[in-house]
Amino acid sequence: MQRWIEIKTVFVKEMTEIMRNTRILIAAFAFPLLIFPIVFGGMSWLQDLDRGQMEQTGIRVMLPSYNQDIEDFITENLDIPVQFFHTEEISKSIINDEADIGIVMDMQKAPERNLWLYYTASRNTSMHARQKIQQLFSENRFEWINKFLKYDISEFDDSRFVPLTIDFSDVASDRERSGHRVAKILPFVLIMILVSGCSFAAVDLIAGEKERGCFETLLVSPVQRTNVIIGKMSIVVFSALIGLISNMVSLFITAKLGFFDLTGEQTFEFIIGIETIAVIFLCSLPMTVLFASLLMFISAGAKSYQSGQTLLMPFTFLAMIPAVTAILPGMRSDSILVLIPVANIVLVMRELLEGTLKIWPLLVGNLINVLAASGVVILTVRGLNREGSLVPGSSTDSDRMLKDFRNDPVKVVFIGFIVVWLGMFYVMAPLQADNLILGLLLTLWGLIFCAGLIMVKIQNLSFRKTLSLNNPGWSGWLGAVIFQTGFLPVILFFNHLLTNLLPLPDQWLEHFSDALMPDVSTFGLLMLMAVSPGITEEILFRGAILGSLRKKWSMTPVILVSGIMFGLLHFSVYRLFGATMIGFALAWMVYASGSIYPAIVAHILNNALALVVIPELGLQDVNEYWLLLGIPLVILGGYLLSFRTAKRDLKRSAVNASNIGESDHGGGSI
Amino acid sequence: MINVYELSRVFYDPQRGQINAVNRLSFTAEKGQILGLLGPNGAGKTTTLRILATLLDPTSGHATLNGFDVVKEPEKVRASLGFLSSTTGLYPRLTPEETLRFFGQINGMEKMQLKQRIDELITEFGITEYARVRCEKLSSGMKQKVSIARALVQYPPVLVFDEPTVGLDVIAAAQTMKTILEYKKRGKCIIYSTHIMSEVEKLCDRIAIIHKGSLQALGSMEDLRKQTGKRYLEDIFFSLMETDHDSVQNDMLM
Ligand SMILES: Nc1ncnc2c1ncn2[C@@H]1O[C@H](COP(=O)(O)OP(=O)(O)O)[C@@H](O)[C@H]1O
Ligand SMILES: [Mg+2]
Repeated sequence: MQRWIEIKTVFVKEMTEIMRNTRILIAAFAFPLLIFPIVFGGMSWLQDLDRGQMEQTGIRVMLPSYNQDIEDFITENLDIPVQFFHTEEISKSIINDEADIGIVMDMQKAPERNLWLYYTASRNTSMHARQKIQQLFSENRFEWINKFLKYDISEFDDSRFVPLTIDFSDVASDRERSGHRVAKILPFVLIMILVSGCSFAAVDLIAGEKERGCFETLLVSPVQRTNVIIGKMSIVVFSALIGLISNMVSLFITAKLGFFDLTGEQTFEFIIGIETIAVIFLCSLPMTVLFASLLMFISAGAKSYQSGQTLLMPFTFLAMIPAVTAILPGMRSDSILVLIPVANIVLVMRELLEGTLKIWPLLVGNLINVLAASGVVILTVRGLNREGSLVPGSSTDSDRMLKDFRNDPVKVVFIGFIVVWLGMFYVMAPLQADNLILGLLLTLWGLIFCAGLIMVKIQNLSFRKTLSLNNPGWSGWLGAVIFQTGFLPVILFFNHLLTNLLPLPDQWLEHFSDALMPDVSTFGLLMLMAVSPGITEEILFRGAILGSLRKKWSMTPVILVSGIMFGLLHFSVYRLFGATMIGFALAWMVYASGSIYPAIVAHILNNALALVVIPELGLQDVNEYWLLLGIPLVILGGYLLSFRTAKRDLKRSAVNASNIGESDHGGGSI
Repeated sequence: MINVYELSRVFYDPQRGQINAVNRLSFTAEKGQILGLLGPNGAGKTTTLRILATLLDPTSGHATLNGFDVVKEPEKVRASLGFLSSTTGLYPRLTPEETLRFFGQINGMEKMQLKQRIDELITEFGITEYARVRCEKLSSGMKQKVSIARALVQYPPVLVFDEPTVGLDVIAAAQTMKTILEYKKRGKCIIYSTHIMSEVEKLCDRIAIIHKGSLQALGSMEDLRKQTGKRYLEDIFFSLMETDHDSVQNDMLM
């Protein structure tokens, strides 16, 4: 109760201040409200200019052959100059800009569908010509039907002609086409609005107050720091949302005013319906919270309003990068992009507007964003709770922060993982697309393997202990082989169940077979796709990450977290489940055997089996027998793996007792 | 009312290394008295007061304020505290009246009681005319009045002033000191930190002289005179600084 009163009090106070801050009002309200009328008003003004010019120069009409009747009909009824050309290859001539519009009339199909208009949406002149001709034929439809088709109009009732006697060569639906136009620009604008709305408020509320000494005043009152932070966060979110709402209102009004209606299609209001706006708004919520807390956290690093703005600038651009994906052609939300905050929601919005959105990217994308936002909120609240973060002149010193960092395995692991993840995504993935073999080798040995070693080195830990470089004994080696041989069919079975819920896209299957690289020998393939990942990924995940985390955490959370990280690095919703499960199993193997080697063997075996066996068998045949085959092997292998640990533990504790003074921080629990 | 025992605070600075900003400082302050914290710039006064106001954590030692431990019960400590320093700011876009209301609400005051309290303070500090003007438009003397009123809104038994006259003109500074004396008479426990000796002589019942984070002397003017054999505070101060100089050298020899 007390908590809410405090948060509310802070919120109300900030609200009062913000309403009196013209800078924020402009950024959060006026700018978003005006952007669409300006952008689209400007666009249609430009088109009007074009149109005006065209009225003078006239339009170029292409016909398949000479037809006096049509040509007369058009010149008589059109108030602008018309030129006629003739060719059989209508589409080609329009693409080559030899004409603005092509007209084909089919007497055979009359009167159902009798007129085809060829045009290209990529040229304004063509769009205008289409509009003119379309208008011409629909307004005078009785006349030309009478004239050219030689039907007695009285035989048909009017309604048969009204809906569609004119057909277009453009295959896209109206909805898709005009949705596409808005869809390209809207998500990007929304992200911009959210980021700028958040950053103005965040800088003022954090860096500005710090500079003015208001934090010192506030923090010597009995209010709880966390409540102050939450109160401020709500107002930052709130002001960004106000911006968003202004933006949507602006969009709605612009649509009503008909600025989008550049080609005479009356479909726009249908696209920006209430449901669409509601979905866009809901999708924006986690994004807003994410931006708000991130920008607040960053601006706490600044001592003044001015330096706060400077500090936020690069981060604002950073948010733009994933937002740009929406504008790039060929990006879809049902790909790994769904795992990237900001990018996922931009794509979801675009597809929503185009009418091609699937339900699961919407859900997965939002789930990811809610998780990311919660994480950032927690970090921000904790970060701003540190004594030096909000009061000037008592900044936390960087020296100790680095020291803290080195002594905190959890931080090293998480930050290291994020760096690896970003490196994979932004550097290695494009590299692999360019040259698969080189890209893979660099990813595995250059990034993943090195990251593992650096993680250990930066903490000054012993390699042997952290990476569990111990001899697992014969039972460990054997257990690994048996365990994994059984585990693969089990995973494949569950994966199969899952793919029924979440069907694999065709292009993914293709990509998988592409990856088998026909020009590489089987040996090379195994080295590249089984041995290399087996060693490097194990050194990072079951070595450095597991070895670091287990200094702080007990077995279950270590297995869960390292396994999920392993899954997330596989960059695909489709492989997430399988990879995570294998990650759990491999992590458990390290605990069971006390050594990383069984995990390496199992990993290599897993990939080799997947490479050789799956293409042979085909995944269609997966059934319950795979489970029956797999589970006993898993149990036997598991038993063998943990077989010697008990005995060794006893021996170890005896050894440990005699050399406690060994110079390793903390020491692992194995 | 205030008990400080062996309080220390260490900072780490990339350039300067370890800084003992406050070094095993002990003192007490009583109800109805003003304790002066006197020391040159960088002596550790602000750090000490920030620890008392729970803005910073002590590295070691204890401090209680109004019976509450600054580390264990920070909210209760802050509820008993009116804190004012030269760097504490007012919200520029709020009016004095709104400022007082906000801080009253943050302190959990009842609506009716708060309203009465705001009127009371506005009259007492003579800010009636400006009560509805945004703070950013006030003169520095006016702002100082609002700041003091703000620190007093929840009837705190303890008041802490950290160089409150910095940046004020003579009149505003004199007014500030007058107000502080008035509140001493009303029975508040007050700590007043400054590097200006005339202010200490005018205001304080007891004086703690601090240098490089350590306490050099503590007592009334009379006590200090007896201790050093000097008559004026300035002489007392410098004689203490000198002995400190030696002690620092001794420290380094060890
Ligand atoms: N956040 C900080 N980081 C590093 N050093 C600090 C910090 N705050 C204060 N100091 C140092 O501690 C010493 C005491 O400072 P302070 O308490 O502000 O002195 P005073 O208020 O008496 O002038 C000074 O040397 C100052 O530079
Ligand atoms: Mg100071």
